[in-house]
Amino acid sequence: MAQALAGLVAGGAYALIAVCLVLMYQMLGVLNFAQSALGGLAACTSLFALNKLHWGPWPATMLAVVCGALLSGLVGLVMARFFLETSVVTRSTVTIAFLVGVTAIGNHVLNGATYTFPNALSGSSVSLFGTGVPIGSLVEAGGAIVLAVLVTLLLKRTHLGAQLRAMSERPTTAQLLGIRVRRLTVLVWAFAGAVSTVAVMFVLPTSTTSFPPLAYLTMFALGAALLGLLQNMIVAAVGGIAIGMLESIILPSALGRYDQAVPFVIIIVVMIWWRRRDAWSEAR
Amino acid sequence: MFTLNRRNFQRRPWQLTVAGLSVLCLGLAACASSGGSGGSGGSGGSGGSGTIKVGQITTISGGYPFGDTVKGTQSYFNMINKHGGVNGHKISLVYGDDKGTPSQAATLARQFVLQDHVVAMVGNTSLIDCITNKGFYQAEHIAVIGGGTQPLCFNQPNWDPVNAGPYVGHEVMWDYTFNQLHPKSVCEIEQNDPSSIAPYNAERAWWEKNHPGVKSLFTEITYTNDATVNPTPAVAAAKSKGCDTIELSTVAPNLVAFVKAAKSVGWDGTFTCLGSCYDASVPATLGALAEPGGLGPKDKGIFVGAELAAITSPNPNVKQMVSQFKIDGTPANFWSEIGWVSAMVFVKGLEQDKHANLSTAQGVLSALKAMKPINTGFAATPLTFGPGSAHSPNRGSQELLIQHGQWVIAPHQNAGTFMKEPPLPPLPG
Amino acid sequence: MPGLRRVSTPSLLALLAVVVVGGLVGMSLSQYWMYVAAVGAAQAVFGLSIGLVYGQARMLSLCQVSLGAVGAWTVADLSQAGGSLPLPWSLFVGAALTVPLGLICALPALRLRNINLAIVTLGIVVAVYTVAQAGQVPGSNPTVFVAPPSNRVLFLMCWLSFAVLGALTIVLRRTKWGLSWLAIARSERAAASAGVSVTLAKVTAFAVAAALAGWAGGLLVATFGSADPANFDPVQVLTLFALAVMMGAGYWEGALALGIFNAFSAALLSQFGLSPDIGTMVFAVGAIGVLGAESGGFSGDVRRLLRRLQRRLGRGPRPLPEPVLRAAPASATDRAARAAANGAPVALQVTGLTVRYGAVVALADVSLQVHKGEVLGLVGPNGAGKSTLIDAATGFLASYEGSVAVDGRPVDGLPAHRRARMVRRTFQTERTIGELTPREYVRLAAARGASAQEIDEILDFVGCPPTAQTLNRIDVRVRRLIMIAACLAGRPSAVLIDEPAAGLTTEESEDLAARIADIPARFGSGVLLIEHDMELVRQACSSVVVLDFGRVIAHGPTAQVLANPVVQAAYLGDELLAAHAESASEQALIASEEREAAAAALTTKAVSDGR
Repeated sequence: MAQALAGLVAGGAYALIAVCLVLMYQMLGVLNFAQSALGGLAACTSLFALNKLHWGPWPATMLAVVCGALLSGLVGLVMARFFLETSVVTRSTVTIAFLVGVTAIGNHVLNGATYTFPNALSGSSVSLFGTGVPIGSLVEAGGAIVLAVLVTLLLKRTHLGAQLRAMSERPTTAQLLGIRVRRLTVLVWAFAGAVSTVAVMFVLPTSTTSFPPLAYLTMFALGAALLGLLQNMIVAAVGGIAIGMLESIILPSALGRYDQAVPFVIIIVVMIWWRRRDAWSEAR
Repeated sequence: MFTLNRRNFQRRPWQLTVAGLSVLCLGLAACASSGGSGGSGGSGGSGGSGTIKVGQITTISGGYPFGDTVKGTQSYFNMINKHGGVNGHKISLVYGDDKGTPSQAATLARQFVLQDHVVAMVGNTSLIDCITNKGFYQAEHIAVIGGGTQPLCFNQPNWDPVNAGPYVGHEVMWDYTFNQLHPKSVCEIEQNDPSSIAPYNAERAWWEKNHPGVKSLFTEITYTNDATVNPTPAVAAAKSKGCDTIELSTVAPNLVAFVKAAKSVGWDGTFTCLGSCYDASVPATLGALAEPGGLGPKDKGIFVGAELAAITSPNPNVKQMVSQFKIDGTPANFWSEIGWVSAMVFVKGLEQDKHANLSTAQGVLSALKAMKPINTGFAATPLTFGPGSAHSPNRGSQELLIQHGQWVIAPHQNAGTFMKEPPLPPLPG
Repeated sequence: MPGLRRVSTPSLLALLAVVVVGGLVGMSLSQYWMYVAAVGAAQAVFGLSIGLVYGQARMLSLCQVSLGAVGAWTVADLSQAGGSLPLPWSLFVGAALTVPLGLICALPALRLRNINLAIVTLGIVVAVYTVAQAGQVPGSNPTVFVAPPSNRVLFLMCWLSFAVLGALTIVLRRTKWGLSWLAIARSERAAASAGVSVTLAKVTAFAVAAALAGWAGGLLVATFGSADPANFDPVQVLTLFALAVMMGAGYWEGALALGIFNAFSAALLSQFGLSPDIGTMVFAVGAIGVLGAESGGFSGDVRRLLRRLQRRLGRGPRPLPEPVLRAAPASATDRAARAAANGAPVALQVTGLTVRYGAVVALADVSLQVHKGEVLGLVGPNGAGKSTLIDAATGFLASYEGSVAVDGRPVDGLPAHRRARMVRRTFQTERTIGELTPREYVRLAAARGASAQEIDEILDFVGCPPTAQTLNRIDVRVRRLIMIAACLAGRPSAVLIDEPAAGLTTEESEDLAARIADIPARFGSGVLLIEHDMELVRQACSSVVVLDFGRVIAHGPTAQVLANPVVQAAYLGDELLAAHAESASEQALIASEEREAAAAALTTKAVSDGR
């Protein structure tokens, strides 16, 4: 149990990012491979605030989240302007290109020196099941589930949610009905950007300072998002936490060096089972 | 509205391909002047007749903070050039960042040797240079003096590490740990790096064979590197296995992460690490956690095996380095020390033969092979390049401990001197 | 294969020219730049692999470069000091051993497409990287060292590899394998209807691409000396993929551009002291730009430019001549009499066909026969089930009740591409492969042993003039004719044509009717024609079957069926029939009232007269 709880830090990050992935896939028809990379790049601004401007941890974290929303919103603007009428495949391939570009910038910024990232929750722990569990990871994991529930409710019950759902089905029609498709697209991107920055900020304080691992968080979160069949945010959040805990449980065993294979076994199995009836590449 | 944008967009790839083609033309133009002007990655010292060009390949980005090695080497050359250089020749340095990828390391080596015509590599501190460029350096008769990060660096004819390395480092660390710290159970947390795990296992087997009763105290936990950034599960595993000492062989930022994770999980115990953990950022970042007792009553502190002299050493050579670093604004840490000491061995070795031919790599290599060992004041044993098919002149290290926010010499060692490699039969093979 | 040499020659000549010039330039470079060029050539081979799977077959497989790891490990293990097989022979073994892994990757590709395939292949990338880092597979430990050959030998090895493998991809593109890859990229259904086995196409694509990647992985070991896992880091793999998109690696010049650009930009940036990350950012932006404009990348731009030059020089393919349209065919009934009189065999027999989509019954107990030598029309309002019938008959439905037989033999268990040997169909939405010429497209669909002359004759029969234009430059009407030609080239017993006349003028419809009417006499097949254009049906079909709500409501000679009020009601709706009936009875009522009034008037007159 204690070993499993140690996986909450990573699991909470997977959960938050998985919720973003499902949200973007459902609302905007894009699978955002660059989700955590964008969050990671924004998180670097907190370094600047903390080490050069000498802000406290909370203001630095807030700055990073705002920058995450702005950066992601900018990407959303590009997508809304040029890629609104293209296929899911094209849009998602564009995010792969963004992943490559953002990782290049991130590598440049984090060039290996030892940086201190702000830890807004100052690493305090509570004692659970005979082990110390960082408060941050509990907040993160619980927050992911709460977020999933709230967003699901928002989509189902509110006017904004109805607009978003209309936009996701038929962007052109929604546009003609007066729904501000471009604005909503940017809004969803910005929201996802802020959430993924938060996810990365939770992981960073107890982690090493190189950029690619932040980008890889998305790939693991994808396993969780697929558990929800890219439709259900709550299942994705729970799945993310489960994947993190499973990885942690495997670590001390003989399979330890393959612990990262866990999400990918899940991905492959779920995909093949989910799509087993797809006989042809297109409908008639 | 959408089609208008699409049409505008359609023009852009054309421009990109034009840009690409122009880069290509630039490249071909550069090739046409074969052996074109170097000037890559910055150089120190002006060109001019009789200047010796040396190169350095270091992993600056990619998660490992060896970047200060360049500054350390440059500082030494600055000092030497002020006094006329080596045998009357000034030295200029070109350096590159290999980012931990073999393609970049291989390309840089060829750029420096084939394009810039460097005569030696000084200060190389890279994760993969020893592995990737091993054959190339031999084929081109290039001598390399630098910081060895891999066991393979200690086992090549052209590579001369100035640090003690993992083998000697582990031997000394275990000697100190078992004789002075008396642990009940040691958890070795290893990154999943196949090139260092096998030698490590061989070293440990040898140690256990020669120290009966020690074997049962070791527990091994591996964790995959790079892709996850999360040491918490590994520390939790150590806690569940009941270890009171965690042994790491990683770099300083990772040590910081591990200690923070230990605090959050509630593990109480002692950390030990090799010389790669020796960095001022550790006490600065960890604060009270780094002190003995910071994690709990069983915490004896954070022990690091410094393979070169502590910055605070009273040795005059060390003081000289510190003052030159102050002039150049070079940070003083293990990595800049390696850069400095590598340069020192290089220059002092060449100075031993006033008539050495320093205009070719072969000439430099011959001079270094004929070199007599020198007392640097930085290491437990005299350092040299020397003949032979493998080089590992530094055979000792100094255990350091963090106290009152500073690295100090750990107790039960003679202040100012080193613990030498314990007298064991050499490792087979 | 006929026509193969003629079509591949320009590309092969261009490749040869580039290889010779590039080789000479490369050999005259300084040692360092020769090394960089060698690395570029090795990466160009990776480009060929990505280009085949993504550029040609349009399968979003992200893991091609990772497959190269198997080749790398094999070469490292075999060619290390004291190993059993030196370079370059170990390259062959490496490429061969990569093929099984490529086949394993093909398995998910059989069922997963687009974004789903991308996700699974990304998983494979990370899995390969994890295994590489564990260092347990022989050859994967970075301390396994292969002494690199001299720069000159290395350059020749890499450059010639690209030359030979690039030529291979050019030649393959025009074989049945290559054409099948282009076909499944466009539409899997259309490919199957032309007799292409989609499974085989995907498997061959992955197998060949895996061999290419394995060879490239082996070349990497030759250049760097070891199979370090950092070479197969997920971000590196995705970067090469983005570059492949930007350069249009489906064509050989795109793959070459990928390699050259990647290697030289990194080296140049390093020369000027700049970080290679800048190059990566340019690639990312370039890929985004190419995706937005859908312009086919660098190779797309090059080909467009060449075409424009060709046109300026007057050497381009000539535009199609003005069509000569045939007049309306002679009466259909004579032919039907002839066919029935000769006791022509049944080409296609559908018995008791029932198709349900959940609770909706699309077809209910439908039976019909198409004789060889006749054109049978299948008409009915929208939603009647006509296209469903064709789907069922040709194997595009997962399950149905009833049976379908061709030439007397039941075909119910056979998949679509196997049925295509006996019965062919067209699609309502036009699905040809734009970059092929008519001759190439028909050759893809042709039966085994079809000669070039036969193909030309078929194209002439459908009225497609001889041309070297590609299909994307030919108008829709002619493309539909070519689709029919592709069907005929398969020498089927039955041809099912789905609404070919949509959007045609009257003259064009008559021309189409004349050609369709001639198919049975010329090729001996039976034709089932679905159409809404009644004129066309009258001109081409001797008999007609009418479907409404999934049931046959009428069948028989054309004129008779089309005059049937039940059929008219089905098209026009019951109310109008009722309205007809109402007005008829109204008129009868008025008539009887008039008679009554007249009778009353007479009676009154008689009464008043009698007083």
